Amino acid sequence: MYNYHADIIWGIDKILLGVTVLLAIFDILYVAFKEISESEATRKLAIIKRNLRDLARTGAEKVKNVCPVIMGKVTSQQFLEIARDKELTVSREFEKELRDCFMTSGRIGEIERVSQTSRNKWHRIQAIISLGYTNSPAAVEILKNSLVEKDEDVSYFSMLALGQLRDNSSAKILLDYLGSHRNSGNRIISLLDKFPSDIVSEALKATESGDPVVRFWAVKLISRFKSKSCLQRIEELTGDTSDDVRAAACECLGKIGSGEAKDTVVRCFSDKVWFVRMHAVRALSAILGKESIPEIVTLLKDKTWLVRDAVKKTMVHNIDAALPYLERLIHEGGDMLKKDCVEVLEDSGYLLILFKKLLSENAEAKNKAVNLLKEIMNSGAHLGLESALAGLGEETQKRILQIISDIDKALSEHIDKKIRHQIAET
Amino acid sequence: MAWLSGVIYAVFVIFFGYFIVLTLYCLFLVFVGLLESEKRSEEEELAEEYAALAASTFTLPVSVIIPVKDEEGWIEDSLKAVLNLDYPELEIIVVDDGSTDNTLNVLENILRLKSVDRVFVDRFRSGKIKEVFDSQSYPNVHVISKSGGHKKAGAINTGLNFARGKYVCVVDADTILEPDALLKVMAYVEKDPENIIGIGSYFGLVNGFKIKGGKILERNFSRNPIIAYQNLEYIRSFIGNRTAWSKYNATPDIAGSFSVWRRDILLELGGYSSDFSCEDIELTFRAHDYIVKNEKQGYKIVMLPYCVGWTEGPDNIVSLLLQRNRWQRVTIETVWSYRRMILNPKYGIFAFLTLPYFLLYEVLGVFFEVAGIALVVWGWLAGILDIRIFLTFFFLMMFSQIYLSLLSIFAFARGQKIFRLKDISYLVLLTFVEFFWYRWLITISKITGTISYFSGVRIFDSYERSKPH
Repeated sequence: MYNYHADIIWGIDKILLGVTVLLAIFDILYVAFKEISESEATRKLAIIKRNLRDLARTGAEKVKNVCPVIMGKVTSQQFLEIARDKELTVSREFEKELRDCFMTSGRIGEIERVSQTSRNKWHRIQAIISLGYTNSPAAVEILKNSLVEKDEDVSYFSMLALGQLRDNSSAKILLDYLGSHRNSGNRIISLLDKFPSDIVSEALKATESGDPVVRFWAVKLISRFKSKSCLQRIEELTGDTSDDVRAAACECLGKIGSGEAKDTVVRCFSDKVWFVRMHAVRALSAILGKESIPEIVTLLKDKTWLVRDAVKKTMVHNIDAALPYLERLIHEGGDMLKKDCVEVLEDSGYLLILFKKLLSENAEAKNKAVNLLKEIMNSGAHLGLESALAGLGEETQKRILQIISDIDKALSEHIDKKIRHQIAET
Repeated sequence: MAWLSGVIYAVFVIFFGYFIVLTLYCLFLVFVGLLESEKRSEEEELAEEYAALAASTFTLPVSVIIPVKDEEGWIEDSLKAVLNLDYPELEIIVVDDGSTDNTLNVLENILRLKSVDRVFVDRFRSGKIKEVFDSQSYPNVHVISKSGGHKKAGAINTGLNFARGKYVCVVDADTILEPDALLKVMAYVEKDPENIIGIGSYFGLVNGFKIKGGKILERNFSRNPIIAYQNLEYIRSFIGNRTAWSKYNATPDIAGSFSVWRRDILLELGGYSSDFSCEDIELTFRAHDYIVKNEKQGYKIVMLPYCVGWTEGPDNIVSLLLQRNRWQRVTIETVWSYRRMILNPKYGIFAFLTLPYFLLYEVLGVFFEVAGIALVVWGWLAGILDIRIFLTFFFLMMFSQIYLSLLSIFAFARGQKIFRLKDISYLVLLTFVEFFWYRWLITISKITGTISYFSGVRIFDSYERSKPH
């Protein structure tokens, strides 16, 4: 009989049994303790917040005297929770009073020290985040330094904290940081998105950067604020060497919405890059609305479908202005152009108006409608007729189907069967 | 009989060595997972930037693709959960993969569908498109009805043809997402969108929950041991293993129930493959291969420990065996297809940390287990081995597994607020009896899965589904 050191293994088993039993008890006790301590912490925090809310109603003088006493007693975690509680800072006056209270509570010095020197990374990060909410005079400098630290967590949270400061100096730091951390562009700009519009001046300076990524994000930021003061510079950027910057500049001009930029946007219709043309179409549509149709209609023949799609969307929203062009193009155009025109007619809901005209007593209107219907049917893209007809009453359906039958009998019968569900879709 | 003694001793050493290495490896992963989930929980607690991100005009656009096949019981709730997502830039594409039940009617009722003629580029030949619909109730929702036959991968690829977001999020039709699921994940992506190409996060089992209109009304964790053990497995897998692998950019699988990928990378990869029994693990392996072949060493595939949603798990033994049979098959299929990556220095930590585990535990583990038991039983019956060695070894395996489970539960409990004391206590209790039955169920499913693989079975067999309560 071989027993291969069974005694030793049995010894290990006994140790493991002890460890697992202890660990099981520990797990249960830990969760119980965590639940109790979390509920206690929530209760305490709720009391502090309630006291602060009550305090807010008592007037500025009392806030000035009592608030620092309350804040002087809270833990760092509670401090942070209070600082970023949106419900507490609904009133602008109280928000300012609360910030002053943070400053006079004697906690700022401690937070500044922890944010720079703590060896516990998460305590340090907690202090860094708190700095973003307190607006202490030293905050910008401290965060500027911690932003470029090697530890990526410290750097990331410094970026978030700078995003909370929301002033020109923090905006400048973040835009500069963007130059060396291009991958964080989206994150930085989504932080700057919440800044007041005076940071546009910093964004404008950033458009002079030699780095196309910085220029791109700076333009994106300006479009968020729709600042007319930047119009000239943005127009210049439609001739940028970077495709992305040119597209963003077109988009920005659309957002600003100034008619002065019309010629610049129209020039972009001949850009060699499709998405610049697409943004130019969207921009002109945003600037001129239905009056953009005569300009953009030429791009309905663009080789890129996304550009054509942008044109079609504008036409759908401005069908009255687009109709004369559609009637002409559906007659003159090639297969693809015809299909696009029909799609615009369908998506805009014009088919229902067309049906009304088909049944009109006015002979001229009726003839015109019949001609357009013929063009639609001949285009090979007439799928929308069924769904448009399906919504009408039976009598009306019959009359329109009769007109369709006069043009193409087989198609009329097919549509009739489909709207009566006698043919399944394959 | 000295030679027999030598052979048995050598075999014993191999089995014992295998067991010790595996246990130490798992212990290492659990500790790394514990530290990593601790870090992420701190991040989550401190950042809390979700509200700002939700309101930003610069949030990265995401296309959510929901592949659906005969999901009339679940689609309403899962779709409404997606519609309830707190995310500003969202496009939702539901792909009906030739359902034969009422799925399309349920979609029609919720979305008020309108047939449209939509231009798209068919990059993947993933089946014939029958009809494309836009929702009249939700302008950002589109439904594509296609013929079946290309598995779930085909349905996702069809959705991919239509998707326009920079990122694509694939959600199973039986998954109920938390409203902040995308925000949590995309807030992490925003840190480095150029390099994070794939990301997933923890999700638990929805069985036992009360759901209405896609909203979770009551989180009653099922006391059905089959479900509870799966919850335990998910905790071990997500918190113990995947979070640790993620730290070293060696994640082997972004689970299909909720996965986010950069769309341009998915297109470059050629979409999901329908050649495998299941598509998610193979795609993740292929993405690692892509990173190396294209020298994109900065690219990351990340697994987060945040709870983003809940998915349905099989609630009876037969369904469980079927599901795990498929999992075993797909693991073998994928490991075999990418065997050249194992211990290949070009693939770095993925090749040395993750893949050997997959090979030795997930694929070959079942052989070691069965052979080890057979040998010990034979030795005991033949009067060669002392019964004590059988018992001590059995206890060693059992206590080690309990120990690892308890550590994973602890790591999980530190970073979450969903499972309450009674739920955790129940899981702790179950760890002590897992070795007496549940573990062997899984072993049986792995054996049958291995047999199915060698028999050439490559289907995505579905199991009996229940409806949400």
